Amino acid sequence: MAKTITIAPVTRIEGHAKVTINLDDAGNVADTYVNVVELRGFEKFCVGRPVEELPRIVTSICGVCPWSHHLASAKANDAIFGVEPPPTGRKLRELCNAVAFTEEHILHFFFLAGPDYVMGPDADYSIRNVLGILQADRELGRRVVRARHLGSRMLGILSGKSIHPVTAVPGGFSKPLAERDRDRLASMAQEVLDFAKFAIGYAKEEIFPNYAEEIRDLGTIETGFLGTVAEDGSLDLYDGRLRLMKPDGTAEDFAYDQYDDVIVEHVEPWSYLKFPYIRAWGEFSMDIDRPVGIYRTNTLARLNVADRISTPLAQAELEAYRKAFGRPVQQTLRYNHARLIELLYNAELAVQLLEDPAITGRDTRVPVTPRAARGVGCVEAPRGTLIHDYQTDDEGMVTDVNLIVGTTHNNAPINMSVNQAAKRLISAGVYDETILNKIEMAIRAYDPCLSCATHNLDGTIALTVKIVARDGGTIANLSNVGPLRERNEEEARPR
Amino acid sequence: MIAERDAEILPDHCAAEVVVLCCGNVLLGDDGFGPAVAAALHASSRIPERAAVVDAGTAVRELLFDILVCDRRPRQLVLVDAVDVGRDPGEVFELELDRFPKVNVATLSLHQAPTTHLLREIRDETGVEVTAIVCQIAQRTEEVEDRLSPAVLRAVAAAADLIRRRFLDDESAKE
Repeated sequence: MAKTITIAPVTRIEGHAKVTINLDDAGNVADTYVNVVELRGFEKFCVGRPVEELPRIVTSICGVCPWSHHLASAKANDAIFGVEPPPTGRKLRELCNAVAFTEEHILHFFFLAGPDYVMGPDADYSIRNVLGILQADRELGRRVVRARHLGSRMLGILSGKSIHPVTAVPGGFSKPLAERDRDRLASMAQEVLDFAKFAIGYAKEEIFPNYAEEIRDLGTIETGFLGTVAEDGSLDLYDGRLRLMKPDGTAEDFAYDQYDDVIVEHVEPWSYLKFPYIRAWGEFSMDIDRPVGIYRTNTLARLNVADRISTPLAQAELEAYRKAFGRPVQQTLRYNHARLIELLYNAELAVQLLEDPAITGRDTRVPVTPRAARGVGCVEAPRGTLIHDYQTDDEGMVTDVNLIVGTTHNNAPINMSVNQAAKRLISAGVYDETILNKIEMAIRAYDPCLSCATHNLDGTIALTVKIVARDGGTIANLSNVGPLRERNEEEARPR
Repeated sequence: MIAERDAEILPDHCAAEVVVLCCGNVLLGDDGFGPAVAAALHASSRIPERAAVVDAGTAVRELLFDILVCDRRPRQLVLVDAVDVGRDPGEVFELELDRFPKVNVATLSLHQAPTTHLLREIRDETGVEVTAIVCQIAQRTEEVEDRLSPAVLRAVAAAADLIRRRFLDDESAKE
């Protein structure tokens, strides 16, 4: 009998999603869909407001990466007003971006994706979470927590508040950095760098070798890649040109305010979230054997498109990574490895910026005057390329807003990776919770932020699997903890 | 005793004796109840040094994780949030964490079920006293809206007063 398997919500990703796996009459995977929730009406909400308010408002879109939205919005404002921040203002923004990245990447690797690796994908759900890590290795847990606290405290010193920042303003940065604070930050940044060095060494020695097969195969698909590079082709997370790489590794660069000439959006009737694809590559297709127009963003993509990394330790890691896995790397679970190289880069960058005498300059912003204009701001967010595109009237009031967030770029690839993983792992109707968790691992590798509107507490959310017959009747409910599991133990048994 | 080097970087939500975490998205209508209560508490009274009132916005997951995994934690954690559990709109009440089954989030509102789950983890695993003060929303918001409904707006002052009396006033410190 044909069945539908539903995984909802996907655990330990930001926001929530529902995965539906349709089996055919033989019990093999026919189709898969990843449905996500999105914040609706944000563009309409912004219209009619002063554009300089948006850097403050957009931080409420998402409690997970508020700095990325804040900085992309500030850059869009710079473009609207036709100004460039002074060097100190720009460096302070870059410093905040680098520190926020370290905090986010530590969170993802150790709290969200890490439990799958540290505890193992087949470990009991009750310990396959951050508490499991803490109990298994208290010293590791203590180091992770301290490193995250350091990042949070640094952002607090730099901007006054780390949750909903307000310090990036049109034309620069509102608050100069005092010498005394710079000294405090420098020692904290050095400690974060020490942790980053430890983290990548730990992962390379203790984690990745144990999962070589999963990393090579799970969710692996062939796509193009998009990311930001500096003028010299090196990795840049704050500013630069967008580089688009084809699956064969050839690449071309374009200015980020031309994104809508290159990227178009496909719509599927089963998802609110759109599917961006590359116009010049042909008619959109998510066929995993013959995809058309599909590209990926986020860490894997950024390391693929960058020619080099400007900081020495991260560059050495990139060289070793390329030697082992080539360029471009298509293994989806390598997102996690790439994430740790980026952690190292950001930690090094923070140290470098704090050693720069210009970081304590007093000239942090330039004045701005309202005008009618279009302004595009683009940064690399932890979850992918983030684009804010605004238009204003001659009084500087917003007339149009368009946002493309990192996870939206990866919508099609996430669906394809789930499809690939499900087809590889499920056959003749046989599946169990470990297999379903492995499918989720493919999603988690992308570190998706599926709903900027929610504040649910992942890591302890149950996994629910519904098996539905073609006539719509529920055949069984599977879950990973608590009463549902007991109630459906018989049905949960692998068949 | 916590090391001096840790104390310097310890976030307020771990270091204070009493922590009031006010969470919610101010762009989602009545979900902005928590941040509104935080603003009311800061505006209307001095927060004692032993306490911290935090507008956690949409980042509460990270703050609760911090509390869960940190060596130093508050004695009392108060979570302020909006919920939809079928009460009268604007009704402020204490949420019973044990009322919710541990897993059945698929049939509960995702808005609050995972929060209650993690709060219970903190209570059971760390011994922190956890109280959830919540407000029944008037309506679910389908699109971005930065205003509270009249019923929830009226409840903000009442909730702030309740929290002040129970957790922040000097008398509450002696309990």
